[in-house]
Amino acid sequence: MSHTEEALPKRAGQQGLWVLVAVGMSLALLVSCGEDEPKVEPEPEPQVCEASQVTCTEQTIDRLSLLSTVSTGEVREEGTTAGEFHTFVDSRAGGLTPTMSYTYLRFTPTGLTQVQVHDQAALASTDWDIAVRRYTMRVNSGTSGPSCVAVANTPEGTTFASVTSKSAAAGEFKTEAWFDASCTLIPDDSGLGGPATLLGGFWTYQSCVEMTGRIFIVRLADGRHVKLEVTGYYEPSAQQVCNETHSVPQPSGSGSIRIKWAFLP
Amino acid sequence: MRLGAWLLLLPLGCGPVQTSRAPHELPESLGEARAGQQAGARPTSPQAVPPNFGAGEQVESVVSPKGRFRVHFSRVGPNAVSPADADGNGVPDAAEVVGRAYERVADFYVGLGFLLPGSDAAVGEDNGGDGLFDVYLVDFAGRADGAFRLDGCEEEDRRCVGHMLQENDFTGYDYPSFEAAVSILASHEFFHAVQAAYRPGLGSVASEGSAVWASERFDGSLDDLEQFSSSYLSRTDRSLVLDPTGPAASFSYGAGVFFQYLGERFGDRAILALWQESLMSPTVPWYVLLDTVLRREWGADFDAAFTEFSQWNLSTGARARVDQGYSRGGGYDGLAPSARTLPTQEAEVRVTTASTRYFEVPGGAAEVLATYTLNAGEDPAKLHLLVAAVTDTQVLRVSRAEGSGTLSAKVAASDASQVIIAVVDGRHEGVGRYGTLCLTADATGAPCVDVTPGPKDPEDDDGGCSAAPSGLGWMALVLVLLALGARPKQAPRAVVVRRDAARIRSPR
Repeated sequence: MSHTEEALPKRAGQQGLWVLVAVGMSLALLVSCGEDEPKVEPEPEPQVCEASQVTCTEQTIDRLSLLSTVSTGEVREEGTTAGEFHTFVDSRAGGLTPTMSYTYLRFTPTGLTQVQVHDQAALASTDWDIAVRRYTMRVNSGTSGPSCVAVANTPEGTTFASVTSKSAAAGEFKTEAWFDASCTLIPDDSGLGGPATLLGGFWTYQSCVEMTGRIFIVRLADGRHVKLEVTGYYEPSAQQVCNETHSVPQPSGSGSIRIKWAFLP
Repeated sequence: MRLGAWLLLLPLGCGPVQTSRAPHELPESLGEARAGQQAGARPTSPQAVPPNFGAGEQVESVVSPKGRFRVHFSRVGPNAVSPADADGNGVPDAAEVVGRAYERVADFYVGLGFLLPGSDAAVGEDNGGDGLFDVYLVDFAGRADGAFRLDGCEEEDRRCVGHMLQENDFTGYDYPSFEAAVSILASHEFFHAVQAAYRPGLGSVASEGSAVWASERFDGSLDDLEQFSSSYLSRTDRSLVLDPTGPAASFSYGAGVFFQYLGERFGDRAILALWQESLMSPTVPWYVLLDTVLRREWGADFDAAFTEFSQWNLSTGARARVDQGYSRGGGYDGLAPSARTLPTQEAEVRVTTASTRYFEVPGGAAEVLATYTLNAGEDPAKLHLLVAAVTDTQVLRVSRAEGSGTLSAKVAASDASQVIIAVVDGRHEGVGRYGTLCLTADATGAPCVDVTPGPKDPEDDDGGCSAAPSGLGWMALVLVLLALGARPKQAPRAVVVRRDAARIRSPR
């Protein structure tokens, strides 16, 4: 850049129109060869993927009722075990017909931190890893966002404590894909008509949202891995009743998501 | 769609919502629905999907006065009805109230021209004992208060029959009385049975929305429509033609406001014709059926109806007036325009199929101008702009614009406390569209229209000023423009219709 700026005045007075041509070519070269220039910005965090184009965005906005109001739901850490987090997320989003965006979150060494972004902007943001509203939880990849966060299941019966490495994954890591090629929704198997998200297996629905205890392994965009279990959708006592009796007492405190998670070595 | 799949679409909703009333029905999981259907299980069966009667619970039944319904109840245990028996005939009054309510509801729907569900004698041994329509009074424990469950169909996914579950005593619910609760549930839930007599798989917006309408139509003093109205009016940005997901999609119940509009605007016949048409076109979605019947019988279409509906919704709550829309719009609340200041120029304003974005700016200015310009490449079809001058208690006047190009409309607003702007997408198929919304009270229209300075008036050179060109000035301007072969920049196309918010005649 500085080289071009210095050369311009000298040639401009001597070559007339040719100088303009030369400048144009120089600018073109700058654009095409810009990546060869020394970088002055700090190195970005290592990425294992480039931001990708999210497909079926308009259908996602409509089907998932994506909004442009940032969630004000509280996010706080409740865990006390070193290296392990238990994060509370107020995922009510204004009620059963939500009036706020999903809560967008990023896994950090100090806990799950909220990313201040609304739904429609999140479709173009790689800043978040996981999003939650009510009982719908999704990661930033595929039809959900431009990043490449992927999820693998673990074998049924796996406990949170027993997962010590990503090798506990059963099957491949997958990215979100709740639309087919023609943007027709692929629903979950609950019968409630929601999208088939990768983390949707944390709950089942009989007459209330029961926890399955399933352990997921999440591969983040920078290559780190996280083990994750959703421990509740209702307040703990109500969740226990729901899990045991398939019925939840009212008031239940629905929309009180709790996620137990830890980075894997 | 398979029976088991659309079975799931009928009973939607449970739990507390932001409205003052929770949806009536409880969703059933896929597994539950299939298991229940395969077992043919009524609540008296051990295989029944809860809520159901206990294994040792003694279940009695009574036939309704006209002999069309059989009401099943128990006297002991969690499902027990109130033991009160004022007439001393040995049958609890609660069961008799239910039987009479269902008879009244059935008579009413027949009077509107609807089919009633047929006999369930052929659905199997577990049919309640005979061909009468069965109503089971069971304890929903606060999670819901009713459910219509299908038993079978004469044809694939059409002409179906089922049975009803209804809360046994409504203890802990927010209804004004047991009788009122029974009237609401009977009119709402039995309308699902009426729908099933046609085609029950039209989705939650059509099934719940029209059931809420039916309840209101049965008895206008019932408050279900009023209670659910905010679930739609607060989220008019959602597409009315997409069923919401989730276990308590109160939006679908709130959509009763749309069916109420249809009923008041086109008559009961509009809803009846929709269901009749569903028999003729077994795979067509409800909004296409509605478009078909509106075109055929009223010379209207979905677009025209939805746009007028969006205007009627301005006259709700404190702004309701009978001559501006709903006959009882004062009870419908929750319209939630997004506040903006003047002037505002906002890009990427999205509007999707069968939805309306409402915005609100302060009134008081001589005029408020609104423009909406779709992004390049967007399909301009069926897009409308409404601009309404309002006070806290009424809609003063409404301007409207539509067509291709920039939509532009303005209203006199000096006597208005607010101006509400509605961007209406009347399509029933497609995806979201984006455009730039501009709102201004500037007399020149800036920044919403380009204010190109005209040629200098010669008088200006003398230091004088003129608020407007004189006659000679206009002539000179025209001559100059002609001489230069220039044309003034084309102003946005405006269709300004001042209606004093009167009810619009039939859309053509």
